[in-house]
Amino acid sequence: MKFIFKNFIWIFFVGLIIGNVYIFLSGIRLSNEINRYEKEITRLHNENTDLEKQVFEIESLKYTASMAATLNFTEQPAPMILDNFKYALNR
Amino acid sequence: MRSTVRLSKIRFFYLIFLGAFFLIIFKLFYIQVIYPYSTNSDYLKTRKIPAERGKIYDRNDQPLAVNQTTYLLYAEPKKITEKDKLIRKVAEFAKTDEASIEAKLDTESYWISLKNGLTKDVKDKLAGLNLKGIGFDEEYRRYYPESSLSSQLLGFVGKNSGGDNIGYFGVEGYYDKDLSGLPGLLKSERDLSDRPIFFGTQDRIEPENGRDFILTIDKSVQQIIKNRLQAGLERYQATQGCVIVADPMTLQILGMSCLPDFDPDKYYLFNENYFKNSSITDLYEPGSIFKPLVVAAGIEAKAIKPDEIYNEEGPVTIGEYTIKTWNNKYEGKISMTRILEKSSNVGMVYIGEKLGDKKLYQYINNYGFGQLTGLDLQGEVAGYLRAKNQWYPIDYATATFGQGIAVTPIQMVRAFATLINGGKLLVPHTVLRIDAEGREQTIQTKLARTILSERTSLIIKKMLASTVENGEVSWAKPKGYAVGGKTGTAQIPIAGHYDPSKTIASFIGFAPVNNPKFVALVIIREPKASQWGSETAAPIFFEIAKDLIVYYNIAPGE
Repeated sequence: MKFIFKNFIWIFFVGLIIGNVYIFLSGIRLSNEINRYEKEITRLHNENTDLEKQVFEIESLKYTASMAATLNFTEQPAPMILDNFKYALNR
Repeated sequence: MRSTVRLSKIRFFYLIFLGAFFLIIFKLFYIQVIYPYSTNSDYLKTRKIPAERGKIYDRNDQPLAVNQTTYLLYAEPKKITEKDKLIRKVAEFAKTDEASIEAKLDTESYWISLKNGLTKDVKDKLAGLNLKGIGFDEEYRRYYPESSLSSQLLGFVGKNSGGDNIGYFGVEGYYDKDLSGLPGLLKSERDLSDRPIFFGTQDRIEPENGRDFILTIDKSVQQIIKNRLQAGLERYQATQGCVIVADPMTLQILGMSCLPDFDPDKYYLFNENYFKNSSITDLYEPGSIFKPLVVAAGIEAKAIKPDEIYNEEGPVTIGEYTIKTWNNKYEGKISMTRILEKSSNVGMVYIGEKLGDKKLYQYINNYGFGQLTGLDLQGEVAGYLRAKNQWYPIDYATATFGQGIAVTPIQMVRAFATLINGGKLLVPHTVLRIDAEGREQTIQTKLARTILSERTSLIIKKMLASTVENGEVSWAKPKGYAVGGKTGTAQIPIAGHYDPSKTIASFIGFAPVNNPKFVALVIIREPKASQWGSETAAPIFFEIAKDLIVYYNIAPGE
């Protein structure tokens, strides 16, 4: 009886130590995962913001105007119909 | 004997444990009382999570102000090992001088901000050097895709005395609290590799991002008015100019541009005079564009009839003052409509007399002059309307043709819109919708009061259309479209008298007459090519009107 009791105590303490180490290692693993996801979320957010900025830049009137000037699309911007109404009616 | 050895062993272990306990107690005392900062900073980290500032879009959901991620470079002087190399490299990559970096590096401090607004490229280059004692914090910075297109209307985001972002001027200033949102808080125990300690404190309060604003502004209208105004200022060699375009039925501001303006991305390069929006901050004498308001008041009060005849014989004398027409020419018997067409000052004095001083003052007050319009932009001024007992007979006479009274351009647009929307004095606004994380709030048009009847509105619209058709100057009007409007030329009062060489030229108009889609005010200050509004502001207005007619796809004859 005494032998069983003595061994049980040992097994119990060894079990506790193993459990403790397992929980500790799991904690580190989970911490690493949290850290990784935190960084990934930040990276994705920043990438998204950068891409958004690029899209907005390309969609801007400022960019369109510079492209129009480069392609020489600015010579006759006003439609003729408002000054010469006959163009609109002559159909 | 055996029991004595056993007792010695127990005492020995007792002393070891006692020593260990003392060591632990001393260490705890050291880390909690003597030197608490370093331990706290190493493990428990409390960090503010910045809220993302709300974005600003135009009425077609095109971005006007958005955010970009930049980096704040900071130093921890106590951890720096190669100070000279660090100063040299930071100065080289962050484009700053070594002396200012060195001056900031106080070795007694734990944390110092070195440079903000670094781009990702610069941050990556500096991080790649693996310098000890520097780090980076992410921060949001405002980015305006259209640069200066709506700078005075939007305002900009700068820093307050505490180093926090704050909106100044325009929409950024007026709605700063809504746009800023609320920062979150992260309280987290971390190990030396900045990994969260799983069984430690991990509290996180999520930030509440700022609200997104969808403005009534149309980016294309803004582009049209800015281009036309810029060309006009150069053509007429004027010092400054403003254009406001609004929907007269709702008083939603469709475009508002004043020149010269500034680049909100680089606001720190400009003098603060460029920041104010002259459309809402500058007072000026409106001149003849004020006349339609008085004529409408006369019709509404049944003091005059549109077809009533006035005998324009010559100058009118009020006390010691003589009032003449702008060209000192007099046509004899003319109708009320003709008074507007030829912009007759003496005719307006007649209408003012028929209306009566009391009613004239009452209508000027009802039109909202001397009061804030309630426009949702930071920096609006109310101006002032002198108390009634401070008005002399000459003041009533000159007020009928817009002199001796100070108004802001937005007040003028608001009052003029009542003439064409059925007499309703509305509250102008620049925000169409507010989007707070999926919950949308639509801003409704607010009616301040009704001043004129539908009948008066119809009559004055016809008179204004006739003013454009039969005015003293023939403009390049859009053919096939009925446009109403009025020119104005106001001299600038300097040291108690008017300087005849310096004027503020203006034109206010609307189109199409039957179903107005827009009302636009053009003001240019001190044009040198011609001092008259009919020869400077009016052509700019008609250029803008033509562009807007095409943009809004308005059919001829409407």
